Amino acid sequence: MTESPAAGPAAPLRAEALTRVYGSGALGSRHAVHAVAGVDLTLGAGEIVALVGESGSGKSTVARLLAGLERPTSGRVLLHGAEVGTLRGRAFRRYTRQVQLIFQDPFASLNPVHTVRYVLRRSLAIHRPQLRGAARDDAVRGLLERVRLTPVDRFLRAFPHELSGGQRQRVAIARALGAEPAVLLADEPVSMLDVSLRLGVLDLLRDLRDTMGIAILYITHDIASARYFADRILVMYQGQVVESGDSESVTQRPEHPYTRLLIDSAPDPERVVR
Amino acid sequence: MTILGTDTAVADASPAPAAVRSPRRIGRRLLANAKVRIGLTIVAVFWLLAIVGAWLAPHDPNELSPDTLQGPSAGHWLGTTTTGQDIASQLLAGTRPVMLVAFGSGAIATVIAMVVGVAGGFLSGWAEEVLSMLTNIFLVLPAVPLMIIVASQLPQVGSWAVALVIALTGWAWGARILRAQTLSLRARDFVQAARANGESTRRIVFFEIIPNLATVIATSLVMTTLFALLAVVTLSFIGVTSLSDWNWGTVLYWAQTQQALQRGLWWWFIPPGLCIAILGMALALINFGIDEYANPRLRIGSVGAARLRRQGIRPRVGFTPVRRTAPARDPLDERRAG
Amino acid sequence: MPFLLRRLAFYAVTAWAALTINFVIPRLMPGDPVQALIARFQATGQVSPEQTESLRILFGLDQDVSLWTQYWQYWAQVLGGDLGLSFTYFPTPVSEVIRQTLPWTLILVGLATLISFVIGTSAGMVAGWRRGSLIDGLLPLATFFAAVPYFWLGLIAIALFAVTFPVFPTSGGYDVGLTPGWSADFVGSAVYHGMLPALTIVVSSLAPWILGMRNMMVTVASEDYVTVAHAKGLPARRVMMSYAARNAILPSVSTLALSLGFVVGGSLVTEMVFNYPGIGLALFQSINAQDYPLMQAIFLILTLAVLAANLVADVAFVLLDPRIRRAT
Repeated sequence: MTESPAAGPAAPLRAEALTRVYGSGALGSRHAVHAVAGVDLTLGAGEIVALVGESGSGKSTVARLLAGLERPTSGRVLLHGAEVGTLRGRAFRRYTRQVQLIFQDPFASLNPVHTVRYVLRRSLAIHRPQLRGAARDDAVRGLLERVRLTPVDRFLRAFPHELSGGQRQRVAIARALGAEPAVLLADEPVSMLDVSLRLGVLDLLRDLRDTMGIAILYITHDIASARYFADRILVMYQGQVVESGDSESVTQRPEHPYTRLLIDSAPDPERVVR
Repeated sequence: MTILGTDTAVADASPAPAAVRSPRRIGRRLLANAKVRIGLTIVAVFWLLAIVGAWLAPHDPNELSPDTLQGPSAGHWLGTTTTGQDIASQLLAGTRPVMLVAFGSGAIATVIAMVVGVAGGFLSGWAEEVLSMLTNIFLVLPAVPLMIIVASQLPQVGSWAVALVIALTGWAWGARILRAQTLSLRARDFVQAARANGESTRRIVFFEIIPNLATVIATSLVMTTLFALLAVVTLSFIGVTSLSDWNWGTVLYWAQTQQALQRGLWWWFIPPGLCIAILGMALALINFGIDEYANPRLRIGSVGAARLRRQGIRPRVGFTPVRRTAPARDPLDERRAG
Repeated sequence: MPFLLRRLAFYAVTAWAALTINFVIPRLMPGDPVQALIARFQATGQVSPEQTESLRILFGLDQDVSLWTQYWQYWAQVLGGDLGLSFTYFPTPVSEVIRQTLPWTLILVGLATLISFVIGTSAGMVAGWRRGSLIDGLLPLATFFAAVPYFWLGLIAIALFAVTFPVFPTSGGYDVGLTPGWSADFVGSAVYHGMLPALTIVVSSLAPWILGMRNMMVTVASEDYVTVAHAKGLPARRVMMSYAARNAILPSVSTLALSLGFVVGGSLVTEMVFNYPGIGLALFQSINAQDYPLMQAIFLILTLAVLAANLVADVAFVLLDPRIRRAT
């Protein structure tokens, strides 16, 4: 496997032999499903890595495991080289300060009862409690500007249902940025958006990497967009990583038959690249 | 222990959480519904009577008088009893205890239902099983006999004791519905997203989940209040509550023991029942309004449907209404022809 | 078969809970009334020492025995069918009183509930399927009757149909001149006496069935599989019955099971109004006479009856819902 130069021993996020089995137990062992089976993954500082696979390949489970929403059956996750133990209460909150997750469906990932301002103020209250009152409001404005939701005043009081999909996904990204994380896990961040809006969101994410040095794990089923967006690509199939390498070599000289299938199924890889 | 089939069934039957918005806006939208407005107005009138009724009453409800068994008149609006007590005054004096007990135990039961239901839907493992089991047991225990037995064994049965007994026996239905809704909310992305952002469980429950349960909680409150209303009146009618406190059920108790029915003293047993019926109907109307709000498919109400029907359109759910017979003359065609 | 196993566990625990509540309640109340009553009966020599002992166990008057021992003795006694002696019908055993009154209630309330369910669900089905039809207008009326206490509806029914227009008898379960038995005269008289109470129960419990079924029909009718059934050109009647209603009825069936507790409790009061010789009237009398053994036993029997009805509804549910059928 090719390791990127940035991925030293203290890479921001690293997974070793990550495994998640569902439905296991004394009675249900016959129906056990190995959603993730021994995945190794390294996310270097300021690196964008794409995890590509079809639905059901286990890539979303990897995101949930890395975000700490689920516990791995076996294997371990290392944050800046230190092993991440059981995540509860304060420890979990500290972890989320470093690692933030963006969901696939921006229509479902924002609570319909809260305004944009509430969502962002909460994120800041959790992760930067030293900001109070006016300082917090200024920070909210800063977040909105960073994700290019301007003019800011138009969006502060908006409820999710008043926004487009792309705008909502930007709010979700701004919420994640409130933590000033080292790692952003983006689980199919553009697949629910109109094609015309996808590029804008991906460009925003890349800009965050460039300006803030955030490492991004980009999870997608679309290998063409992975090639456009990511430095490295990992191809996942039935819970395992079957191929990995830098974006160009994986897409130009695929070795695994599944990778070839993915590339052949993509309508036209050149279209996104222009 | 989850009752697999029935739980999903409740989830199916209750409003989809997708329809919910912020509580304040729900309030405004609900007030736009005529049924809710009528229902709330009636409830407000009864509350007003509960507050000022005791002063409004022309007589002391306990006062005996020589005018026994009189029909309604100017002096006695709703006639008198066998001992010459004024029935209208008894009803007015009885409004406050009825309202306090009905709404008080409705509120207590809803709080219990919220704690048990939301916790049961949010926790996992044995705690969830225990709460779910507790709810199901209280659903199956026959509520009214249990209430009667408990109330009849209390040494002193004042209004608050009755309210508490009713609340303790009537919370399970709401808890069940709230649990089903919480279960479906818990799995939704925005709850997961709040967690992934670092929100604490407490905040997720109170600020992410509970606001989304607003309509369900409102339904539960209205329905348990209706249940409590019927329960308190029933308990008084049976005579297990203290007879020195007037309430509508007590009036009916005396009417029954004095054979008002057999003697044809309609002014004694019809008005108390009508009071219960009108208040109960008001609560049911509010509930209808909430239902229509939460499930917009119900909103094509019978009035709208009847209007469509008059125009020769047969309303059928799941279909765009279509005219069955074309109107004899289309004014547009005429103009074009001319 | 996780579904049935879970249900069986639920029944077992609920039965246990009901029995335990029965054990706990008299121990929470002040013991004086029971003690006084027993003492009174003892003084007149109407109670044998064994009977006194059984009452002591049921009501926790054995202060020298540990609560735990009391609990076991109580179980042994209840499982043996010994529910104590009734004070009201002294010295008849409680089990005998229940044996005489329960069938009346089971038949009256059971039939009335079933009739109400069938009528209400059918009306709800049509009302949901054809919005704005006459049946839709039935709903406000039914809601009115549901918002009224059972017993008051009973009072009005008596005033109207037994006093003003004497079509039905005012009270009782059968003609007092007849001896209970399976004679045609007696059954006819029982049916005649049961009409009015049954009618009030049906009328006042109709609304939830109509409403529940109507709302589910409205929801189900816009499902894709119903639209497809229409598009296939199936007769509207068939789409309504075998596609929409079949799925829409599932929540109603499970509600039926769980609401039985409410229905039974509410309709008991109807028995008091009609002086109907069922278990509700016995409960009423036991309260007036402070007949604790009878009160306790009635509560117990009612809970068990509701549980049994739940079991039936569960079986119906499994038969109606293939998803669960397969899982079992």
